[in-house]
Amino acid sequence: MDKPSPQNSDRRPPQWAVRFLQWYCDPDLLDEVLGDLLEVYQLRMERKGPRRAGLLFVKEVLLFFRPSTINKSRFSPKYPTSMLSLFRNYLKVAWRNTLKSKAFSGINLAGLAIGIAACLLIYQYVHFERSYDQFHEHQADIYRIQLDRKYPDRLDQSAGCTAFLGPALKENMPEVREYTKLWATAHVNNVLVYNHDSHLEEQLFYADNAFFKVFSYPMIAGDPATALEAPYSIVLTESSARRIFGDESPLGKSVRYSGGFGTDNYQVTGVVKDPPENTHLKFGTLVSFQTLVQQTDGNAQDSYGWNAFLTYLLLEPGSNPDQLAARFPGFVNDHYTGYIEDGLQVALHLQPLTDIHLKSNLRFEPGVNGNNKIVRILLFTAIFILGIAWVNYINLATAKAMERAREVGVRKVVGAEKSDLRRQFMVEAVLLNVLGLLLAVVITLLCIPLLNKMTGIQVPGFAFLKDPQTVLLLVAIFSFGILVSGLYPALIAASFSPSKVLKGEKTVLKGVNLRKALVVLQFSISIILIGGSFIVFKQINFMMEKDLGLNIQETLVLKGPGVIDSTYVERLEGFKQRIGQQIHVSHITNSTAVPGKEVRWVNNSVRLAKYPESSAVSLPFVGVDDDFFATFDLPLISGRSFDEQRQTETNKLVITRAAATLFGFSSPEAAIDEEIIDSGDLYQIVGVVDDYHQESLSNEYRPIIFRYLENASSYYSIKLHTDQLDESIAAVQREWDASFPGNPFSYFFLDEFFDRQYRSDQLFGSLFGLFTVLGILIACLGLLGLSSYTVQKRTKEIGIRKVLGASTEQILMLISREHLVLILVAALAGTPLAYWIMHQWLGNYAFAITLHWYYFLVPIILLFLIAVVTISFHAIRAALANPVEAIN
Amino acid sequence: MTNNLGQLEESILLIVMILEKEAYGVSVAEAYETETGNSISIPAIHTVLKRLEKKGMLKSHMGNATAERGGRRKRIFEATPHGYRAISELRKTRLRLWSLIPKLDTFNG
Repeated sequence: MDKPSPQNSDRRPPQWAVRFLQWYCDPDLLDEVLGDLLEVYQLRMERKGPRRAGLLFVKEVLLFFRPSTINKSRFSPKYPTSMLSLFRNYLKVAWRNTLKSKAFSGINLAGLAIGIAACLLIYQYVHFERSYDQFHEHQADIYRIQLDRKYPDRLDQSAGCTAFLGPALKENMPEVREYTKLWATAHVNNVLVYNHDSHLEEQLFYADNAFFKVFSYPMIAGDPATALEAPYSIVLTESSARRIFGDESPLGKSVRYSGGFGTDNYQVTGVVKDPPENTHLKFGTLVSFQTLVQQTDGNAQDSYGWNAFLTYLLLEPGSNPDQLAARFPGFVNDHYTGYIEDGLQVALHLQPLTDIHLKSNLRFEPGVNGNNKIVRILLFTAIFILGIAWVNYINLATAKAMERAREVGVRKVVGAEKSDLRRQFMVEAVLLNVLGLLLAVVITLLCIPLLNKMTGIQVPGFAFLKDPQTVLLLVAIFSFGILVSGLYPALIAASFSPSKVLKGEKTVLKGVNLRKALVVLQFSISIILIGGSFIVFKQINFMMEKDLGLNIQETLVLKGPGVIDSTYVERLEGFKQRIGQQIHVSHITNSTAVPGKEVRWVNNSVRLAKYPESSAVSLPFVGVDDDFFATFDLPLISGRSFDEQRQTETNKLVITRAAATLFGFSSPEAAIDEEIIDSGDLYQIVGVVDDYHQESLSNEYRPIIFRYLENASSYYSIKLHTDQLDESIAAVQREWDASFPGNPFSYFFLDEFFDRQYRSDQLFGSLFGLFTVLGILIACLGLLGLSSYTVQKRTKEIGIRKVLGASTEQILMLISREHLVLILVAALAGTPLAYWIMHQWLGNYAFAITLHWYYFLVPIILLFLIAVVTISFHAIRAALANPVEAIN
Repeated sequence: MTNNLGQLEESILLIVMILEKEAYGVSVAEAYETETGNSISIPAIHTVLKRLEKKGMLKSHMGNATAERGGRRKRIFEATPHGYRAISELRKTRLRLWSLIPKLDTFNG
C-alpha cells in the first residue's frame, strides 16, 4: 500500500500502539489479539467517534500486556541474550560496585540526595510564594487598578484609586463585569465592643457588596450576595467571631464599632473563613461600604479628589485586558480633567490579581508583599545546587569508570557491544539517581518543619505535587539530569579499548579536560553562592545597625484608644501627665504615625503659598504633639519645634530636610516662616528637622510634614529607661485603664516594630545562607571523592618521590596543586558574575553597602581553605604512608 | 478437570454456546454487551475464553481472516461436552436452591 492518505490515517488506530503490540505479543497469539482489537476499533469508531475509539484501543493494547499474551522469548530470563537477564546482571554488578567502595558510593549518593533535597525544599517555598491568590474562582479575570500620577518632581504609583473610578469604569467599559472597592483603616485603631468587652481589630476594611462576587473567600454564615449591602453591616472573620462571641452565634447580633468616624451600632451579617496565608489581601473585619458613603456624605462613592480606594475589577470571562488598558488614556482624558488642568499626568494600569504578591510594591498596599527578585534568586540557587550535585556525579562516576576499565575490557572481549556498555552505565546512573531522589524526599519531609519554622509560613509538604504542570516539569528536569549525568560516564566507559586495558595499561585517561571544566564550573557556582550570602549578610547587618536619624530604642508604643468622646483631650492630658511623672519615663508623646511603617495620611494638594496651584504635590503628614521631636531625638536643623505654651501652633508646620529640598529652598534656614497651603488652609513653617528613616532602608528619605495635633490618638510613645519592664508596663496599664476605660491595652516596642520590616530580608538571608552551606557541602563531597581518586592513582608515584627524599609538605603541595589551580580559575570566572548578581540585588535598597573589591576575596579565601582541608584529608594520609607499601 | 465456574465465566460460556460456530473475541464481547448491558474489554474476554479452554469447557481452532480485521485470522471457540455438562449441572444446583427459598413467591407474585 502507498502512504496512507489523511482520510485513511483517520480510520486507523494509533500506529505506535500497534507497533508496541506487535513487539511484545506472542506471535502465535498476534492474529487473534490484533484482529479482534482492529475489528472492535472499527465498530467503536462508528459508534463513538475516532477519538474515543483510539483511546480505548491504546488502553486495551496496554491491558493485553500481561504474562499470558507477551512473547516469552523476548522477556524470559532463560535465554542469556535476553534483556532481562542482562538487566539483572547490570543491577548485580552495580550493587557489587557500590558495596566494594562504600565511602565513594556514599559520597556520591549523599551529594545527590542533599542536592535534590535542597532543590525540593527551595521549590516548596518558591511554589508557595507563587501560589498567591490562585484559589479565587475568577482569578484569571480579576485585576487591580494602579493609579499613577506624575508630578513635576516625581512619580506617585498608588494602589489607592480615586473614589469615582470603580463605578465610572463599570459604566464605560463593557468588559468590566463587576468592580469592588475597599478602603483600608490602618491609620486608626478600630475597636469592637460586645457585652462590655472591647477588642482591637487589625486590618479592618470597608468593602462594598460586590466583594464576595469578585473574590472567592468562603463564608461560613450569612448570605455572600447581600452581607455587605446595607449600611452599618459588619462581616467578621471566623477567628474574630470566636474571639468576640465565643460559642454564641454572631449572626444578627449588634456590636459597637469605634473607628475613624466615631462610634455606632453595627449588625453582624456574616462570618467569613479567615483568609488563607497565600492571599495578598489579608483582611480582618469587613464593614459595608455604604456605611462609609453615608459617613462621608457620598464622597466615598464619587469624589474626584480622594485617592485611597483599592479597586478590583472582575472582567467578563475571556475578555482581553490589553484592549481594555488601551482605552484607559482616553478614559483618563475624559474623567481626570481637573488633574490634567493642574499639569499632572495621570495613568491607569491593570495589575493581574495573581501578580500582586510578587510584583507589586505601591503606595496603599493592603499588606506587605513578597519580592519576585528574591524568589528568582532562590530558584537559581536551587538550579545551581542541583547542577553542582550532577557535576559531582559525573566527576565521580567518570573517575570510577577508569577503575572499572578491566571489567569493561572483559565484557567487550566476550562480545558486549558499545551500546550494551553504555546501557549498563546508564542503568547504574538511573539506579543511583533514583536512590538519591528517594533519600532526598525523606530528607525534605524531615526538613519541612524546619523550613516552616524559618519562614514563618505553613508551607504544606509537597503541595506542589497537586499541580500537574509542576510535576511534569520536575519529572522532565530530573529525567534530563539523570540522562545527562549518566551519559558522559557511560560514553567514556564504553570507549575503552579492550586490548589496552586488558594488557594492564592503567592510565587510559579520558575526558580529563572536561572534568576539569566541570570542577571549575562547580567552584564558580560555589564562589557565587558564598559571595552572595556574605554580601546579603553584610547588607542586612548594615540595615539593622545604621543610624536611623532618630532614636527608637527603649520606646514603648501604645495603640491609642479607639473609643473616644468629648472628654478625650482632658483624659489624654491627665494620662500623659501621670505617665510622665513615673520615675523610669523620660518622655511621652502622641502622634498619628510612628517610624517603622509607611505614613498613611497623605494630602494631595500641598504647595508653597507663593507658587501657583499647578505646583501642588502630594505629601505625607504626621500629626504630633510638642514632645515628639524630643522623644525621638530628632535633631532640629533650623527654626524651632512646636511649643505647647503658644495658642497658635495649630497652623504651624515642621518639615524634614527632604521636604525643604522638595519645595526648592536653598537651605533649611530659608524655609522658616514660609507659608504653605494644604487643601485650601494656610500654614506656616516654623522649623526643619533632619532626614530620618521613616521606613526600612529599601526606601529613600521621605519628605514629611509634621503638623501640630495635640489630640493625635493613633500612637502614644513612651521612653522607658528601666530594667524592670514588666512592672513599668503594668504601671502604664493601670494608668491606661483608669484614663481610657473600655479601651483594650495594646503595646509594642518600637525597635522591634521597626526591625519587623526586615523580616523578609532576614528570611532571605538565612535561606540563602543555608542553601549556600549545602551547596558547598556537596561541592566538597565531590572534591573529597576526586582527591581520594587522585591519591589512589598516584600512590606509586608518591612512594617513589618519598624514597627519593620528598618531604611531607612537598607531597601535600603536589596533590593539592592541581585542584587549587582549578579553584583559582573558578575564582576568575565566578567573581564577575557574583559581582553582577549582587549589584542587581542591592539595587532593591535605597541605602546599600558599597561593593568593595575585597568582599570578593572572602569567598575565594574561604573556598581555598575548605578545599585545602578537604584535599588534605586524603593527601596527608598518602604523604605519611610508608613508601615501601606503596611501591610494592 | 474442574467444574468451578465464576459468574463472568458462566455468562461467557453460555454466550459461546448461543453463538455456536460464530464465537470469537469480538462477537462474544458484542453479545455480552447486548445481553447483559454491561461493557467489557477485549483483553478481559480473551482472558476468560483462555481460562475456559484451560478448564476443558471450550475448544478452539483458527478461523478465516476478514478485511475489517486488517487481514488477521480469528480464533473460533466451541463448547466441549464437558462444558455442556458443567453448565447443566450448575443449572440443576441453582434450581434446587431456588425451590428451597420459602419467601420467594411473595416477591415473584
